[in-house]
Amino acid sequence: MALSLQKIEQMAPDQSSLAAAKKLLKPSLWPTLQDNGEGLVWGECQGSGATPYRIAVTEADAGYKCTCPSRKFPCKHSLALMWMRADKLAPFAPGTPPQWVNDWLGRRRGPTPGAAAPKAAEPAAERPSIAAVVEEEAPVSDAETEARAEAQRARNRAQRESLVAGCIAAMEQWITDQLERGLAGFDQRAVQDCATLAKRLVDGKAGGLANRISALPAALFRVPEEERPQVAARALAAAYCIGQAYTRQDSLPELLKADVRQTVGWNLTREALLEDRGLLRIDGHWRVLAARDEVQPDRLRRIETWLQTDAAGGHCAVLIDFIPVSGGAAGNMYLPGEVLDAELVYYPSPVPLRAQIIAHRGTQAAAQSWAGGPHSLAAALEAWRAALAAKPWLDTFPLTAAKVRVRAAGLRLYACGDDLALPLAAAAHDAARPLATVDDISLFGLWDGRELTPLFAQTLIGEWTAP
Amino acid sequence: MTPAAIIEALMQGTGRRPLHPAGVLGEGIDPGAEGTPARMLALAVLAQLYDLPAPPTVFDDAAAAPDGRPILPAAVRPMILSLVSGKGNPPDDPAAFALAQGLERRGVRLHPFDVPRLAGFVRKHAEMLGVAPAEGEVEAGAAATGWAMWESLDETNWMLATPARKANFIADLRVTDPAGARALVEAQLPLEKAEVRLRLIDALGAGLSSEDRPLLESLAADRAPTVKRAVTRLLARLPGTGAAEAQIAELLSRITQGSTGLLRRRVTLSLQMPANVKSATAEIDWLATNFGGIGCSALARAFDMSPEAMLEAAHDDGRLLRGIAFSACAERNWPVISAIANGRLADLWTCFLQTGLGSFGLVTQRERSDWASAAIPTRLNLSGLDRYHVSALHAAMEGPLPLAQARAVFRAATQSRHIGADLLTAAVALMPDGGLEEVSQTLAPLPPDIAGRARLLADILIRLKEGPRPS
Repeated sequence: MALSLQKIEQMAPDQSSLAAAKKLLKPSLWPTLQDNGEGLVWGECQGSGATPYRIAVTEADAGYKCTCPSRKFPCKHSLALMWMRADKLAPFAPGTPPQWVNDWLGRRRGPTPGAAAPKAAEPAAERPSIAAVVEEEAPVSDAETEARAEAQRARNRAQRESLVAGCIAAMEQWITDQLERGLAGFDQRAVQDCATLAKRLVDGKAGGLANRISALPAALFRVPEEERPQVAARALAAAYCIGQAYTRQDSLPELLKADVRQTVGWNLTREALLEDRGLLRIDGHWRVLAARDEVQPDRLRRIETWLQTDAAGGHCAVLIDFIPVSGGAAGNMYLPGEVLDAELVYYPSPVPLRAQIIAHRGTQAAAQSWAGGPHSLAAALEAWRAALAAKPWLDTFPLTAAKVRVRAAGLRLYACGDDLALPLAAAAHDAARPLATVDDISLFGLWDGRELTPLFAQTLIGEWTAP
Repeated sequence: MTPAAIIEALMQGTGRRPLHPAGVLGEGIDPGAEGTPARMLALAVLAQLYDLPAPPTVFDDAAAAPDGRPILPAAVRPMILSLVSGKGNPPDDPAAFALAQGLERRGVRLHPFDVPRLAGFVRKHAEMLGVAPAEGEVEAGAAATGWAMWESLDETNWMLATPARKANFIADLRVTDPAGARALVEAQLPLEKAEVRLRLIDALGAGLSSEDRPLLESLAADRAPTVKRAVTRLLARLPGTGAAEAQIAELLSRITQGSTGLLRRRVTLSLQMPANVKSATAEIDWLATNFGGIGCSALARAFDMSPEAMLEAAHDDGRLLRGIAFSACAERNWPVISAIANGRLADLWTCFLQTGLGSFGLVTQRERSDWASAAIPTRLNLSGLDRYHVSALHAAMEGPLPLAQARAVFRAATQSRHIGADLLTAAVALMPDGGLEEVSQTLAPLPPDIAGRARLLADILIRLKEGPRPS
């Protein structure tokens, strides 16, 4: 049984869901739209995050599945996919269902007789209506209104600039106060003091800085007591650098200026990224090297997917998604060992790492093992030094190196190669210890100048992935 | 000022130790400016970042001893992760135990990269797996070396092995060289804890003879009650010892001899339990304690009967039959146990499980298999079979059942009214290699929530049996 607009209206949880779905009917927002010719439709819809949501719909019983964290069922993405299918608003390429669709089909119980009974008893006026959406979405073109809105936006920007400048001055004063009291005892007062400053930064619309400061106490208590002053020193130094760079942003190179503004809290929309043709774009096959997530102090789950292209240079990129913890969604959409055929655009930065997918042509399992790139450990460290010089508040940097050996010395593990020995992060010791039993490793990890967090390794006995 | 000197000053605080910018990092910086400490901090931290952390002077490479065992087939890795890691997959149930045994039996090791993810499983079964979880390379290497050593235990190194392996070594040696095994145990006992002493003394039960009597009598005053009971049990099995005669006399006083039948008079035996033994559990304990220390032949002789005639006479007294079965086990008289289990008490094996096979001195796998062949009827029809009994049977056997008994238990498990995931999993864990294929096929049509884990275990064991497949 084919999908119809009436059926979609019946399924929609409310009028606003239909309105939201209507905004997603542009084929450009759907890098993937496919069907199997037997009533199974699936697609990928670019949401606000770096990685698109995956949606599958069965026409026979109007079953649906979406990876977005919405608590409306069906969500706007599912409704939009059904709508496009019902109204033939976009071409659906024939294809074989990918693994994630098969996984969903395997889990679901299938059509349940009577479960999708039409809500005939409800008054028509109370049901969501597609016609009503169309009326609501009537375009309004008024140059004067647009000019007024633009002026308002400019005023808002100026007001925010002022607020940010004020809270950065407050942060620098706070850092000076902390240094006057001494870093040795900073960990004892970090929870209270950092929370106070973070609130001030949030009020000053510097959300990025607020997150850095909020995360500092947890970072301190993750390391042994004797290392905490050093960690605090690095964090405060980075915050000071960011503040100084923001204050003098007009004298900075364009990329560094853009980077510091993002770091402070000015977000770049996807549309702005796509419009900027000067940004670094790389098209090719991207191997997923690592996927990890952590919960931020602001109750957002930060999901990082680290990729490396097979193109010359072996660029790394990270897709970063933020999902509300309250949504309950967890896990990454891409798994280590998968290869994305996609074009990525990097956020502006002198050290371009964060990226968004522009076009995604498909995902498949890697056909061959990862070679680790041409870099030696020494060359990888040189790249890090260059990155640190270009961006002094650099947190972590991806190191990819071949012919590495993990060796133990006392209770610590080290990644060794080229007469270098980089200490591995203590938190990764248990998981990484088996690497010490094999030689000639191709290693991928994140280096912060103090320790290396190993995330992926290719060895003679197979792939190793950080848990 | 050097970066280290700046950081050192800032650790104490500029309130106590004001900064005086100088040198390369301090050049052009106004000492009195408000932001000077923060600026110096940023410069010092950045300068330090370019200096890599100092490498260690010595690495522990020598500690990493190579493990010569092959790594298990790659296809089994995700199956094992599904079976014994993650929520709802206990690392210490019969399935996990059977898996550890399967790995040990095949002489393969876990993939090193899976060991951290299987930490709970590895911790529970480190001895069989030959892996020490997350305790450093030294311990892991030692564990691997220990695995190689266990494969070749002899009179010079057996005392270094784990308690179970020590007992197995002694029990095996008793078959070929009873005196030599006795001498080894005698020399080692003073150095061992009570738990190990108990295992070693039980191991002497294999090939027990009157030559063991002096050693056993010298151990009768052991300070551990469990050891003392084991010694008494062995002494009672030796003819002519005071312990056996006293025990038989005590039992004779509780067994009443009579006759029944009109045309053909038949001798009957009935047991009178002590008045303070009331519950079923207490009954079994009492019977095991009092009958488990004497041989059934000696008991039959006391009635001037053959063991078969004694069985016939005790036909109507279930308690006495259980007692006779315990005494038959003490002297390894498997036909008597088989006659009771197959003819009269089909649930006899569950009585043995209550006190544990160890309390009857069944130490080696061979003895336990002999016991199972005798005590578990092949035509088991227990619709009431539950997971507690099957799990206890698995724990007692410490390995698979003989094929016929394993089939019987599995068939009963699939027909039980208590059918569930735990019951089926334990039943599969008891299955030897020869029955795994049919088990997997039988489980295939059952719902995954009931049979999923059991089938996964069966499939893993089949794959391990087949070994690595050509890619």
